Amino acid sequence: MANRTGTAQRPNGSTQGKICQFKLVLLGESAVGKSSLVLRFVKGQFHEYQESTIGAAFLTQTVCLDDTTVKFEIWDTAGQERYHSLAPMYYRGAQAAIVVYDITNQDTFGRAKTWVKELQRQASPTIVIALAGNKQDLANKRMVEFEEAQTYADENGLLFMETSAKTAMNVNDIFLAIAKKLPKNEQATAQGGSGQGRRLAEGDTGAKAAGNCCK
Amino acid sequence: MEYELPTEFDIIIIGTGVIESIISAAASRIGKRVLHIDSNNYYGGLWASFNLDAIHKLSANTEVLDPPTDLINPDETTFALGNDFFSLKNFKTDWHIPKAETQPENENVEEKNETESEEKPEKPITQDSLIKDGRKFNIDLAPKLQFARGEFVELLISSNIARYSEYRSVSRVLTWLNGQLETVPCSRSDVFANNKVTVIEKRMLMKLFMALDSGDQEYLNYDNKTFRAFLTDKKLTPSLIHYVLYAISMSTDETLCLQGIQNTKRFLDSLGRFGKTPFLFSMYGSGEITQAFCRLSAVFGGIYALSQPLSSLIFDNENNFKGLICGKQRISAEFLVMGAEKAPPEFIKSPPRSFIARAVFITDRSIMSSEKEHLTLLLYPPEGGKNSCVIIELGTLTGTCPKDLYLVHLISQQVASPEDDFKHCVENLFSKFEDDKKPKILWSCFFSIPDSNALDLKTGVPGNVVLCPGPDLDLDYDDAVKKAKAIFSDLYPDTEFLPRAPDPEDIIIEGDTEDRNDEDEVVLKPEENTDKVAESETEAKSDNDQEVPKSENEHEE
Repeated sequence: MANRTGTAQRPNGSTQGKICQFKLVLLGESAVGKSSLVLRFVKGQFHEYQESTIGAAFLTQTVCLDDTTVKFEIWDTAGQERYHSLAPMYYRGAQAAIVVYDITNQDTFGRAKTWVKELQRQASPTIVIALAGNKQDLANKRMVEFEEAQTYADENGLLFMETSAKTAMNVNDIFLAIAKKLPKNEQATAQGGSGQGRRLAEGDTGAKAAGNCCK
Repeated sequence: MEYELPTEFDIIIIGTGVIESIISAAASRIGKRVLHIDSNNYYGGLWASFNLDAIHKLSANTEVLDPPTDLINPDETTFALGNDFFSLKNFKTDWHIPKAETQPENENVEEKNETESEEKPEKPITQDSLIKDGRKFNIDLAPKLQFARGEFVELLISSNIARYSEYRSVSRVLTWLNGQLETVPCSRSDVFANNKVTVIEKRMLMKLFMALDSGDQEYLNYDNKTFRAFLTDKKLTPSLIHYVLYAISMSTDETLCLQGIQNTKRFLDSLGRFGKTPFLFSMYGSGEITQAFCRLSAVFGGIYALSQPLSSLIFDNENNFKGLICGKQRISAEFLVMGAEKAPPEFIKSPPRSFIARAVFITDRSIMSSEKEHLTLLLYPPEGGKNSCVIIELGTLTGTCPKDLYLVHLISQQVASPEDDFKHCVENLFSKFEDDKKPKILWSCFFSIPDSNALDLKTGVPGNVVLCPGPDLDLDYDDAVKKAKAIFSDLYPDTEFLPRAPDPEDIIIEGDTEDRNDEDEVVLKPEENTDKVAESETEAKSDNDQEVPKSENEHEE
């Protein structure tokens, strides 16, 4: 499939050095192109009339950085932001966030700033936040100046790029930039789950050991 | 309101409690158009978690809004939403520490000494310092632990909702025996490591566990007798009876033998799956669980709207639910499901007779100090006319309180009042004087939750309306799952209840025609051979290849 540059081929993960898994959440007003960015990044696709939710818990994609494979677990809002009802669970344990706005719509930029504040208040203090000015292909209808957003991003310590899910401009790059900024220490390589807890899975059915001993 | 909601749905769900949220997820999952709506500005209703700031602002008042009359036809009747039967009662919070740091007069002298003697002075904990860290608290109204092999955990895994949340294992089970805290020997290794249990007792306990495991049917002779009688006849010593009766089987002296046996088996069956004890706690609080089901519902097209100005329900002249009034909108649906606490008072035939007594404390150390941080379940037996109490102590690793502090939840069936019902536990477990090495209560909160589980929530309720009970006294969510499942199959008979949601790797987006075999992601599991996993994944995929989880967007704005 096209447009999968930066994707790690991992026939057997164990030989490739470190593998780090991160939870990345997308935030932003409805219709700014959050799902489209993910779809472009994960599947290399773009649909002009993308439905507003995908039907996925989250999608995953890997990025290769030198000897490290970074696996993103990308969470979409599933439309819960539409009536301002995004569950706090969404941010839990997120190590990275992309706050998206539409460069042709000033309101969405204002809203993006609110999301950044919300993340700074609610999410982990070490979260890596990237600001994406999406729909760069519509730059002739631009309402948010590049410099304005860049200044805001600099003041708040955010990564910033203008992107286009339609033309794929800067889509892989913004994920790659996040991957570079994320701390890739031992803790991040822990399996499944991003906090200090564990994800429950069938694989864990292990031996019914203790208690029912003495066969 | 700055936005408008869609106005046609298959099912409207009011309230985001556990049962409502499970039904919402199940309905969205089979493609129903779901509106899940709440007048609260938070998820979870009576099952929610709050930070320290938010719990202080919890008000028990139910606001009744007058609906605009122009949305109602002449042959229709309306009922105002909300009742006072099921709201929290006796709600009370107290600080037991000073508001700010007091400045001792000889402070300057002391500080000099301290800086010289390298050791930093320990900052006293004040109201202000806790409030500053207030967002790190996640205080459950209805804290729960899950059995590792219970129905709830199985549902989380089979439906793939487990992906959304993280869990921690309870690391020790304690009981109160002969005036002190004792560790309950749960597993074989625990039994042998426990130095309070004699060698003979160890053999007795192992023999009992083995007999239960091998399907020994001796207990059938104890048809109308108590579990205590069974254990006594087994010649167990008084301490062993205590461990098995009050802790492992969470029974009382009156519990019948069969029930006690079932409880014990359930405990033993859940051992060793995820940890040393049978129990799991949801990171960041039990309130996360409703959010996980709500997320699945949203992922499959459910529309979510909190903080809604819900005023009333509309019924036709045959008493069928037609729709509801939300702000200036009329929203219709075939079915209505709602938490009992949201129902019009006319639907509640009898007020709650029993209450769940609750207390929450923030403390400065664990009830049983230890080198590592424990997640503790203390099963406090019935004592002096008081009911047994479930006590859950959470440290910072659970994501529910800041570092070096503990959050302690007490749960019991109410006899008099929460304060009175937990008085003996508080006296025995917590500090009365300075420096007595017991944890000091820094902040306390008491309240009662009306128990709607034993009530008739059907009589007099219109046919296409379902009321869901609120929190129960159970330790876990298994009964809530059963109730949600029963309601769901009444509404949508012959449909599958929460079939497995596809894994991210299995998602096929519309128009996606790639050959997926060369795209297979290897699921990374530490203890397994990756090649093997890749193989079995490929096989599995060819079976459910064509599953296209499409969101329901017919009700898009």
